[in-house]
Amino acid sequence: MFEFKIKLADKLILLKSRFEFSRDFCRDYLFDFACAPDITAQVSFNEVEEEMSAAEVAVTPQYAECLCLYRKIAEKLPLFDRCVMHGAAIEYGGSAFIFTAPSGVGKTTHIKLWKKYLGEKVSIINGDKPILKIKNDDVTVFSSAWAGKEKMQSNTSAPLKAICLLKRAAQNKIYKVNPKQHLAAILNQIYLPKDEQSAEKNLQLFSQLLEQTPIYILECDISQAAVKTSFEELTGRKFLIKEQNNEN
Amino acid sequence: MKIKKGFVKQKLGDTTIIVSTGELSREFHGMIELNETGAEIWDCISSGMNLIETAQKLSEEYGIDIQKATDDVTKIVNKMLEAGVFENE
Repeated sequence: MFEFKIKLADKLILLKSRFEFSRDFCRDYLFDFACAPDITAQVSFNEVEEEMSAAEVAVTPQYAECLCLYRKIAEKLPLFDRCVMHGAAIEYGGSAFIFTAPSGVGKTTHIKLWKKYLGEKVSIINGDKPILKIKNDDVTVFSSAWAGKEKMQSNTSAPLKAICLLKRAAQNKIYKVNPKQHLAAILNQIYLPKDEQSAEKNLQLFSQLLEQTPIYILECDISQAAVKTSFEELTGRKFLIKEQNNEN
Repeated sequence: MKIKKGFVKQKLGDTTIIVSTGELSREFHGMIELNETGAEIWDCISSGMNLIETAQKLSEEYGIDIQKATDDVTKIVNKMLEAGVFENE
């Protein structure tokens, strides 16, 4: 067994893994501490097997273990006022924005477009599974090592300014919505613990999250205009159209 | 009529949401949304009251006639049945 320590969303976590892969996977988050961990996670071989057979695409035992470890962490995070959300989180001008949607809709594509047209000013916090720290008066987005296929993440955090439910459309459009009308769409993208106590806490956090976070629907394609649409509404700034390079 | 074990609920203003946890989450996906009356009915049923008792309580609490209360209870219980929240006895 490999034992290693990481820090995620300011919480100290002790992980025990069968494969060295997991430690390497968490390399940006390794953090040595001498006190007792907040969370300890370990995966049995049965759980690795279950993970492998449940996976939509074939995964290695190493990767399956790694995914299981995050699920175990996600199980306990609500007890520390935190939860894992499925979405792409970026930072611009000191604020975080999350684009969320079921897999395959185009979250990653959209944040890549922000990167393409806004460059260095945009940093990707986590492209797939950021952690939200939810307090009564603010919500902070943290990254984690788990960041989906494309592994887009940097070990940073920023206060959450808005959540966007992303939909594909031929016309680019963004509008603020009443979260009550979209509860399932949002909740489906938040990891819901199996443990009852943790699940109850998670729902309380969900309620707090909706009280303080504006929710938008973004209907978009994959053009520069899509970025202009979301950028201007979310940041309140003017988007300067970048001229296409005409050289062949 | 017994509600399966493993549901947790949360009030969001006047809406109550209910989701499943533990073993139950393997068979039960998604979320149930209830308004205030619906949440009250859920609570009555989960505390072991039958349809008539629930309708009576509702009728007294909200000052509505028993027929209207029975209709409300029936509607919510049908919704719960459809969602598969009851144990098979």
